[in-house]
Amino acid sequence: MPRAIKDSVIVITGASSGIGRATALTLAQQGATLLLAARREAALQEVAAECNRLGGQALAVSTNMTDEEAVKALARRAVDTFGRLDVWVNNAAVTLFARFEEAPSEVFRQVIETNVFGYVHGARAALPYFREQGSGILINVDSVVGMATQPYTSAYVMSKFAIRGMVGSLRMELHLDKASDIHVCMVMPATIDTPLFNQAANYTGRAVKAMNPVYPAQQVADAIAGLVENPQREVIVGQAGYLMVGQSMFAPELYERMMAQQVDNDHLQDKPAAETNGNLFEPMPEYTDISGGWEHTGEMPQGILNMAKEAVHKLGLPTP
Amino acid sequence: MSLRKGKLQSQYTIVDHLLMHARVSAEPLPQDAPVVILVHGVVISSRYMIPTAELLAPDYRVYAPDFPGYGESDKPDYMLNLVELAEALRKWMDAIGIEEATMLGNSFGCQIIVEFALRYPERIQRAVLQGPTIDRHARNFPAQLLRFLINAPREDSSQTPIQIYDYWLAGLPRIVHTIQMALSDPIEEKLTYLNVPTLVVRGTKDPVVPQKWAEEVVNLLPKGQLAVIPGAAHTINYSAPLELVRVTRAFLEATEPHLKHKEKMNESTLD
Repeated sequence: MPRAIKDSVIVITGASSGIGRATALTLAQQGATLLLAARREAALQEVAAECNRLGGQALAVSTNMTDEEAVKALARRAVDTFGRLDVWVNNAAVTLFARFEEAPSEVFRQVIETNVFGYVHGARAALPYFREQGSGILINVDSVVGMATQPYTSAYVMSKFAIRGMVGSLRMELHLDKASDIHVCMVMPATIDTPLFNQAANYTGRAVKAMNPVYPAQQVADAIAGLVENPQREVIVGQAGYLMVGQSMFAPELYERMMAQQVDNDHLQDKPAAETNGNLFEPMPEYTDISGGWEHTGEMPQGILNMAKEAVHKLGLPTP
Repeated sequence: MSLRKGKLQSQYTIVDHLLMHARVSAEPLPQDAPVVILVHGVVISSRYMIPTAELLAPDYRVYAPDFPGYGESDKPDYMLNLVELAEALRKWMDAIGIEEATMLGNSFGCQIIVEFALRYPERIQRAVLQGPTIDRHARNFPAQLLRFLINAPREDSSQTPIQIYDYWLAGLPRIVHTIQMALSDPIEEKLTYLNVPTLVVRGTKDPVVPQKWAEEVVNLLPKGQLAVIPGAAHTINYSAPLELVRVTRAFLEATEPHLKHKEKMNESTLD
């Protein structure tokens, strides 16, 4: 059933930066009641204050998504405070760059803990309330690499494939239970300009960068807001995502060779980088913005617009 | 697969030669399950408390009485004033053997609870004031009428026939009398005496109880806290009972230690 964002009670995980932060502000602008979760308390408080200024109502609830009890407490907090839980956005994720066999086991495992079990905890915390209400929307921010693989990020790719499996099974169970107003949605962004890459664990010896084309986080935030009003199974964000998914389905061998090369050329730089665990075990105090400072190369309309503006300028025509 | 609803049954008790009707939980509950009395609002009856009562019934000993003159209770010739309504509630509790209880009221029901607590403080454990009336900044008939008219379309539309039926049962003179009574009650002067843990619940779309007034009520209460339900209107007990029950349950569970402590004190004084 379509529902208004205004007065909806929405939990967003990973809300201290990136897509989570952009989504919080977008929903706050439309009058949502938000519970913002992440590990970084100070950054969350800042986002909550901004949401309140924008006309929403937001609570910051410092939560580690790998802690199942803490995640349950987060869902309970929503229900105990506002009487309702309308939407749960699973979004908190980390990443690791390393050759498959060179990634330390505990680091590899931590990606799965956060990205997979974090989402499992979120879904299992929200669903009992959804069932009580007979309604609810579970939005999972996955990735196009949940359908099309990439090298040097095996743990991350596996985690995003796993979420696809969880969502499919869960949706089928809800179908059997005739829970027709409980929706489970997937958002599959292509490369998004967020601090994900700045905070990545890295064992490749080469510096990480966002792979082109890069899209702004606002596009994902808008897609999530769209799903609240009109739940759909899957949404791909960024045109390159359609291309990746399409190629991997219709020409898998060619896709693997091309993508392998592209990641090697464009996801990793020729600059050396020290080994790091990034934000996997402890959150980093910096990188609390929506953006990770990557150039928005995926915004074709903007590029064409700029070209047009330049042409107008060079021709000496009046600019708007 | 929604939340389990408990069964309710009608119970009739003679209080002061008048038959008083109440809807009570028919669920098998342990003796120490907390007692929750639902106190109805202006001219209506316990009928509109049913959705809330059903959701509380599996875990709490729920009682939703009709006051004399309202709903299915006897209609005396004279009309009870606020003090007498509180007294009737106390006598009814005596008759059915409830020592003390948590009280949840909607609208004018909150005024009855506050009056009750002032007179019989030892009989109330905790209070939930949902949409407490009447905002002292608009305590006149035209303003209140306007606010209730704005509120009406924001409620679940199935409430209207219930309301009309209860209004018809009460009759016009009693309607006028009750409204006058509600309007002449300076609730803000009594709130400081409601010395038990109290949860004030308001809906963001409630024109009758604006946020400012709800906050004023909480600030006047010695042990008050506020819960705001996004999107709900004035009659949350009917239109959004799940939301009301959830915040109430959280409040009751959080204030349970206070109760246990108090019970222990009672035991020691008995010894």
